[in-house]
Amino acid sequence: MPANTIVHRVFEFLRKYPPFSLMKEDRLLEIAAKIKIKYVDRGQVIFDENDAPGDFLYLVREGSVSLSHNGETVDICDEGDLFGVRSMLSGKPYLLRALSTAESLLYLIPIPGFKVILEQNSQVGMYFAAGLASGQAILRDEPSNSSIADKYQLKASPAIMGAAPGHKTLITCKKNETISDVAKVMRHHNIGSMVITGDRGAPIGIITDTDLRKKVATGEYPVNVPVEAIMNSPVITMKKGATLIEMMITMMTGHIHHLCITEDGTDQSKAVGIYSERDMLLAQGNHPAILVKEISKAGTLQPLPALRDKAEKLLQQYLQQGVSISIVAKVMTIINDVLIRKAISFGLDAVSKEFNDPGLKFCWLSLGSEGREEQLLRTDVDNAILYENPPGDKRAEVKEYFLSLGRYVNDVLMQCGFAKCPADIMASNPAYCLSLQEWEQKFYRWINAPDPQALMNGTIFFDFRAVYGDPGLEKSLQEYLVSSMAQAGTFINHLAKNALQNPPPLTFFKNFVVEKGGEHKDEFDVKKRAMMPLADAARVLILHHGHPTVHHTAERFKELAALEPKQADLFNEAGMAYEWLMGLRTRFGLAQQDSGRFLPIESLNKLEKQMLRNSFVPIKELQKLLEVRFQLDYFRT
Amino acid sequence: MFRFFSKPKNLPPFLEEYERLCAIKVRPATPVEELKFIVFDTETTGLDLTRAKMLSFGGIAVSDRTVDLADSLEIIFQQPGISVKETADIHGILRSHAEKGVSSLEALRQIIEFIGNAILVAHHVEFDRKILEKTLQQEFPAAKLKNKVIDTAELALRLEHFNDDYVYKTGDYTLDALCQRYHLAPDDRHTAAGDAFITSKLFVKLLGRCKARKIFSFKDLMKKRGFFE
Repeated sequence: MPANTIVHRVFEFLRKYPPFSLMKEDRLLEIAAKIKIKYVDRGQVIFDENDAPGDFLYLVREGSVSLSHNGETVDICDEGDLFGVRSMLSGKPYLLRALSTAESLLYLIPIPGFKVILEQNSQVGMYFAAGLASGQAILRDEPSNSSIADKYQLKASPAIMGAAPGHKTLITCKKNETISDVAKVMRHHNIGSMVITGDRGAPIGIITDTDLRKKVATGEYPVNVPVEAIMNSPVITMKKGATLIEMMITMMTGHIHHLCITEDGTDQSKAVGIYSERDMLLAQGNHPAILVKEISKAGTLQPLPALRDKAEKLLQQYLQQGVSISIVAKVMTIINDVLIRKAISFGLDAVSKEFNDPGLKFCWLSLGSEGREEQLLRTDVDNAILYENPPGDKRAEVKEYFLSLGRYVNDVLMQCGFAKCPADIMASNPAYCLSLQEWEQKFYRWINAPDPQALMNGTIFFDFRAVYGDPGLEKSLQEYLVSSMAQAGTFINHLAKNALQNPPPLTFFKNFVVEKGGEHKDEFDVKKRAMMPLADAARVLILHHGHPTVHHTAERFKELAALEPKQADLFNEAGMAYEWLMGLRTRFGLAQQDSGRFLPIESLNKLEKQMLRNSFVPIKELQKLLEVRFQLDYFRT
Repeated sequence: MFRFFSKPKNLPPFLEEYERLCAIKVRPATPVEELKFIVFDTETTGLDLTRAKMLSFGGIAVSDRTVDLADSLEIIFQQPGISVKETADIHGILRSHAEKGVSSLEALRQIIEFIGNAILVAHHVEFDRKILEKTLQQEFPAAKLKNKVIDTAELALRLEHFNDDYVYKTGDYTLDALCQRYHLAPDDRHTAAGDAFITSKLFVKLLGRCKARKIFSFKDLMKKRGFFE
């Protein structure tokens, strides 16, 4: 019997790498027990083109092996890479030559035992099918949000989905029943809310304890009128099987406390459940809705930093549970926005003690990643204030008022753990606390005299999003941006060219371009080399289409896929890659307690490295598309 | 009386088979690639050969610069009267393992059948060879360990300093030092099988360097440079 200790040593190595990571422990142990470890010299041929299929699959334990065809290198395998797969699957002679490019130790895996697993374990089969068809497909292997949600039981439990305790069916009433009759039914079943149904059981309204308290007990309505008079309508509905997080987002964005669950998710089909905020809070301990509530209810600044720390714990928890990053980003954006709004409302109180309220409309603009609804970690803030054009004689006074607000709010954000913008792109900077007219002038200058600084500003400022205040002002500025870009003609080309300044590191096949020196030597700058090229490309394209209201980069790609069905595959891939990169960066940021921007490549597992490489493919394609579309070859800055 | 005739040994069948195998002469010109090696390690209760007892044996086969996991063996000896607690701390042999250990006789049968007439390889092989032989002779006083042996420390020294005036320093040729020099992770040292595994990987790397030093055959390989003399 093979030595257990040794088999385990090999097993521990194998399990780090796919497809072995996908195998059951006992099957993997069987494989490990039959492995041979072969030493090969540098320059030794392991198998050659047209050699008969061998008995083994090869895995590089250390060293490196090049695979080539007619003298042209096709792939370089390093630690953890498998080769000899194609011949194993087809049973045909090797197409490639495998040659060690360094002294190497190879694991030789006997094919028969491996094939059995391949046939029995569909995940392992899929791994190869995906890997052989195209590297890209592996991106789609990432479990979708809903299956992960299933796994972690984030689905709302049917037990709390609306039936009264002990009842299997939803308790409902008709709109012509009197308020007192309905209240008696609610008391009888001990429920706090009830759905009012119309034709075919479709929901037309919801009545809650609060309605009885606010509208009936106050004498506003008598108890003998039909319940229709006080019901809440229309009803926000969701489909059966929605996840808790989806429900929560709907409640948080719609400022509602009850959701009705229907057969097909619309208010035209039969109501099957009612779901209250309270149910949701009960279903989950650490809850974003509680955080949002506590932040909005805070009477002083004092609890805010701790609440924002809690949000980070939540973030960590979501990432561990594998909740999709688009949902995580939505939740974190809502929390960040509520925090900013809270800081602004305290700020307005404080500022009004010093200054006279100018009585002007204004809005607080989040820029950069928070503007794109992508700020998961507390990296530096980018923000600005936009206010209504003041009367000529009040300009200085008004500016001082809003600047003072900008200083106050940013102070609060710093206290809550956000970092100061190193370029001072903050509402406390006189250059970025401006009236609509001044903003328009600024944008005009950037658009019509696009020097490198103006283009860089464009990448930050054009992602503006109003978090607080008058939406009309935001809309005016958006319209101005789109129309002046259309008039300026070449600005979009400059912006497109700017988006190409970080080509994906594809030239180094299988190796990553890591930083050459300094503090981050040998780390991979995921922001600059992978995320920025995607975000920049999405911005250029979405602005070119004149859709500045879509913020999140992945959403922008979705929108682009809808606008240009011919390129839908590319845009969808780019969006997925971006979300995946966001998740990766956030996980590392949390683990390293920093921005997660620099990844120590060595600490990425095999699958992560593969996915990272795959994410470069759409970057390259997008950059090609930009070049063609904006004729950048002929275009000289 | 007539002791110079053949001495009756009364050996069990596995040892008779072992002696028969060991009697087969290896041609001196046999290429190194065709030789079979067993890389092994033992863990003992101490370093004093007269008193030490073998606690465990781990070994793995190597041929043609290839380590074969399917051809490996890990044996824990039953140790009546030995405080398992004391040794467990050093060697990582859990109490349950030691209690599960096999009798000395059974352990020897498995080890002897496993090694056959392969060339035994270990780091500082002399000690391990002696403790194994001593254990064997406690059961069969007339038996001898007849395998050829190779010391990885000495082989490394010979390959690295085949032609210079290097002055031997003890620290340079410990297993840990060699692991570092040959880029082998010295993970989980101090179990016999674990050490045997690491040594086997070191050994194939050393074999890989033999050609450059004109070591092609069994005869070339068994030559000693004599650093330790």
